[in-house]
Amino acid sequence: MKMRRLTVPVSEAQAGMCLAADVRNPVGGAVLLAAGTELNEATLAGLRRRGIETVTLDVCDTRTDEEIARQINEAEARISHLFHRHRDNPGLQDLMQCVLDYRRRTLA
Amino acid sequence: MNSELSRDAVLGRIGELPALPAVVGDILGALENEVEPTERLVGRINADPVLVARVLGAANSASQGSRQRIGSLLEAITLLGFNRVRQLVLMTALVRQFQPASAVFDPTTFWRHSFAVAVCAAVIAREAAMDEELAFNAGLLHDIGHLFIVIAYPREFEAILARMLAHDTDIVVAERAILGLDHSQIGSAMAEHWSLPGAFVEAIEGHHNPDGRNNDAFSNVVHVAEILSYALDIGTIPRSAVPAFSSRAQAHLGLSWQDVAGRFGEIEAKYRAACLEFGFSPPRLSPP
Repeated sequence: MKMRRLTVPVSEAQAGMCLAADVRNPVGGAVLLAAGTELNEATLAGLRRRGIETVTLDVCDTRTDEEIARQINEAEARISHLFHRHRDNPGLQDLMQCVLDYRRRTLA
Repeated sequence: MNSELSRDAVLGRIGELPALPAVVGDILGALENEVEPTERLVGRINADPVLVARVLGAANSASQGSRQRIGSLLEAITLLGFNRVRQLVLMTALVRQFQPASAVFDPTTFWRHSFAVAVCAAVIAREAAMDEELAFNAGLLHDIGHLFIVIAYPREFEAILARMLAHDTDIVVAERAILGLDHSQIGSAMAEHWSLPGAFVEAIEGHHNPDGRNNDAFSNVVHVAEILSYALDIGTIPRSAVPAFSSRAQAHLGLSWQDVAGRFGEIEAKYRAACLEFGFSPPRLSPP
């Protein structure tokens, strides 16, 4: 089964999903749950109580290769529109490249 | 229609705005004084059933899975922490107070953009070792000048939008052409009128033109946050485009885009959480 990595609000995480990155305590930075941990109702309740707002998960990817390619194309076109006034601004071209890399990585 | 109104004529009408809710003034004022007026804040929240409901709702979501029902504000504050409660109350009170209706102004779009800039500002502040809560709140308030334009100058607001589209330009350029001043100048005058701390007055005034300020740190944060929100396409509409950027503002913060790129997923998820909290339809997890 193909997996994809998503960062979501804790309110949208579900039991059975696996953490793709360590969850750290916002105060002090200690690791609360390690990458690879499968979430259950108790660990989810613990994250909510500690005020953890977001988690990064590995979830099943049900998209076909064609859908993935289309999503990447659409993301690239959208980024191109968002930055269309700044083709010769080096600082914003730098940001555009960061966003393109991020979209390609998270959509692939 | 006047092609350019006088600055004094525009600013003279700021008194026509709805008053700032007292609880908002308390929260924003407390940040600067670093005094925690706990009892006064709890009293103000308790006097307002909508605010109480929002805080208790969030506390009960957070305690979901335990048997305990959160029934009082003090229990909610213990669970969620003061920062989170202040943030929820501020967002709720502002969104409720300012909902100007107009054929060409959608309050939900306005507040989604404000949430997006607030979330980006807090993350940038953390990376730059600055006050995250102040940055979040400055982001939340940065565009309040738009509200005044919509309320006091509805016909001019339509002309501003038309000009912005016709010239494919930033809204501030269209505002200066039609009103003679822009929403950042108007917003900072509103913040002064409401006696908000100077940090907000300066952040609002400088967010489109941080180079015009004396390197005001929170102007830089909000400016860079707004650019980032457009780049990540959060709080945007189809015709949105990244506005003019000051690389100097970014340099003053000592941050490169690579420094914040590792936080893009967190920013998107926090923005999504804020939209869900306020019943604004959240963005899809991936483009269609």
